[in-house]
Amino acid sequence: MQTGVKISGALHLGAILWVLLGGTLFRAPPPADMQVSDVSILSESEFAALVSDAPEAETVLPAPETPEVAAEAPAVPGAESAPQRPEVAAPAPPQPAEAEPDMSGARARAEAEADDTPPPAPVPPASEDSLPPAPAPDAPVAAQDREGLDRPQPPALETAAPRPAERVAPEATPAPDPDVARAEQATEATAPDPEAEAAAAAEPRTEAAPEAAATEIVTEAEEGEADRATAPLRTARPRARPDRPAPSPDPEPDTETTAAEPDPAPEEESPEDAIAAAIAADMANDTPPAGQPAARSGTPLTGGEREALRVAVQDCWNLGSLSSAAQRVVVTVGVSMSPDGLPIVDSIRQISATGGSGGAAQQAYEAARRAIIRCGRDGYGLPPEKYDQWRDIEMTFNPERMRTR
Amino acid sequence: MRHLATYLLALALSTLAVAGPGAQAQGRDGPLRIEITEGVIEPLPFAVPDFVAEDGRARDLAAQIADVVAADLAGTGLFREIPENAHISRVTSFDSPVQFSDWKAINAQALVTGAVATGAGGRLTVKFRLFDVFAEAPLGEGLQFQGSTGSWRRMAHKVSDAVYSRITGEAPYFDSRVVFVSETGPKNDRRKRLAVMDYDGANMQYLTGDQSLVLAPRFSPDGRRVLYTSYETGFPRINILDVTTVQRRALDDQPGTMSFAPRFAPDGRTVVFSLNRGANTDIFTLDLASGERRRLTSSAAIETAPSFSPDGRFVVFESDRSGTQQLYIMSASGGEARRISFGKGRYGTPVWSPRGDMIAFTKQNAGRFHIGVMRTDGSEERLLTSSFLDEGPTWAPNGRVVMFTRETAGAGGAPALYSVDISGRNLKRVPTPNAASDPNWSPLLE
Repeated sequence: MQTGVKISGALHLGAILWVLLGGTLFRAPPPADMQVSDVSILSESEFAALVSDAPEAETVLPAPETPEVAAEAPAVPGAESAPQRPEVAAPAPPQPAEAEPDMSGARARAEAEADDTPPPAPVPPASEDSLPPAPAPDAPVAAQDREGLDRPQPPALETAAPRPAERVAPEATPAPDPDVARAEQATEATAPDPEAEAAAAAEPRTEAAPEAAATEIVTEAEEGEADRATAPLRTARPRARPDRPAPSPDPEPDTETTAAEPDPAPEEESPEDAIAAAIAADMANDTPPAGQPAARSGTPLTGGEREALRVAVQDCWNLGSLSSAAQRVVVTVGVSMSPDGLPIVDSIRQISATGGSGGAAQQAYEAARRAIIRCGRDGYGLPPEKYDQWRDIEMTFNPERMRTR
Repeated sequence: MRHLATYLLALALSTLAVAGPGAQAQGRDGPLRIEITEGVIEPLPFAVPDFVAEDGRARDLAAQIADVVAADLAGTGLFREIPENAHISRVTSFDSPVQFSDWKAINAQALVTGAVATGAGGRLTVKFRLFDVFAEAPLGEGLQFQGSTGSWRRMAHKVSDAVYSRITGEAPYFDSRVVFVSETGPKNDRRKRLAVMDYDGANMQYLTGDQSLVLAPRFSPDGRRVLYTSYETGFPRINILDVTTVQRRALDDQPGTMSFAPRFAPDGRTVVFSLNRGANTDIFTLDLASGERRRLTSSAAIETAPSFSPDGRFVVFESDRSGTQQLYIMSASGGEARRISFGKGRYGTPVWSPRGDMIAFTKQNAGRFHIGVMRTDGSEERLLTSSFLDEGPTWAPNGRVVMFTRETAGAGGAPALYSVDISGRNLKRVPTPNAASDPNWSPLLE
């Protein structure tokens, strides 16, 4: 009997593992049969006749798709032999002037080096006035003339040479408009909409932008190398969020309505909003599977919640004013939190410090304390139902990665 | 069947145990622990409202001292001053409580308050306190300085030094001076005089006339004497000058030789320099008390620009013994030298950091000149600048900042003094009334 059970159990276990790990249930479907279609070849005149009614399409397409289309574009010597680049990204959208770093000189140099370029791509309207006229069909395009051609920007690569900035942060930030106020988070300007209901209740806010930041310190010697680099000159970034009318505040919120209709996305994100959004997004990802109970008091913080807290603190952890000795200190700081997510200043204490003398450890601790207090002055947006989990926090500030910047 | 269910249950439990260790660990006792490994490097915002004038005669000085303190701190590139027109609070009494909420509102992270009083005989008293605004607590004890009214700038620099050291942990450097060569006249008939000024370009005074060419002034460790190379006789020779009395005398004047590139040893009793005899240039030391001269190098190559380590045990110098101009380190008593520079280009004018951890140098490569720093073993070389002509670095007393000469190209080109943080940030021109070259930073004044 025992032997039979063991054999049966082993066979069943093997079958289960086979099904889980390599069974047919999870085998990738066979590749679909290749579809073959008959094609016919159009002559140039036939194609021109077909597309003659839609000339505007060329201004939308980022790059010529076929030789026939290229033939309609202004002829450039060498264009016929230029390789097709169907994968070329769309032209860089017109950026707001205040968000555009001044890299015209560097861009002109980089573009002047590219001789085997395809015909000029559609020109964004914003920069149209600054461009030279298109070259005559038979005229050779001089290098200095090509400098002004605005072509699709290649996708950003992480290997792009960093640009110098007064601020060094984990993520690079373009130089903001000098007229725009500085803030830790970017904010779009709003203005009251007279047509919107209760628009007067919405406080107009001043546009703000964070300081320009580079991901590492760039010396004058390295700056020259950046100019010579042929790496992409522009970081691919999501476009600025379009302006929307201010949401009309409901004077007496109706619980049912509020529950049924999700709140419109806020136009501007304050730091705490950004943190809350990050937490919410991560909580959505971390939603337990159906059948499991939802998070209750005592449930550990999710990885996203911990990450949001970490990001919030690191944004205020400034090592710029520390001595090189203090920048080698790893300091652990303890802090107690109030239920509304605010750090209790009097509870902040140094738990340990390694890697430096007493003086250096003191400077490192004070910088860490400033970070905790400054970025927590409006609360860290931690989930109140999990207060027991974050009532006491120990933060270890390890500057090892910052020393290489 | 029941056994099969048991096996399946065990399998499911083991899978859960493997999949969820993080969740289990999260629920353990003790505080929540997170590690911060990324931060920012940016100037720290600070505010220095006008110091409180405790009597009518101190009113002007109170504002001027606050201005100098703010300029000192902002000039480091490590701090950013919040302008006075953005201040919400006004400090009307040195001992009144600080309205931290007002300073938080403008994101001032450090606040310096102070007061100035004049006493009998023109004595000036300056006191200050430093606050961590967000911690709502003072940073260290307040300090008070006394001096003559004429030395108010030095007292302001001392306040800056205290604030700077308290926040950064670095040694101070604001209360220091720079000796340099002031240049006037056209490029083909340039007049050169020794001059000394505060580190920030204020209080410039000439030490020599413009009758003869002077080069490469170097402070003694106590800042009271200056070595320099003079062409008074038509040949380069080393002079030593007392900064207070402006009295000078020649050192080791031997016919048929040219001596140049002098520098004091850390004890101030020995001078290391280059001596050219015939076609050969070697490095020697000279005991100032006995006049005894000692040869440190004896190769056929050109060896010059010696600089002592702060402990006086080693000398770094440049030599072309390997075919190109490179940097070498040898014992202070001479002997075998070890090459430390191996990059492309030519290296020269090495200077040992007062902290002893770095060596600053001039590098020429691909038609450009650079000021760079490297570890004393030649590792971690980093070029801080790049221009038509950068040369002659000198260290701030705390080893955090390097000053050097930058000359512009062309017939109208002229030298000027620049400074840069050793991180490569905060490159800026040091104001001088005329063209200037060959700076040498004094130690911190006593």
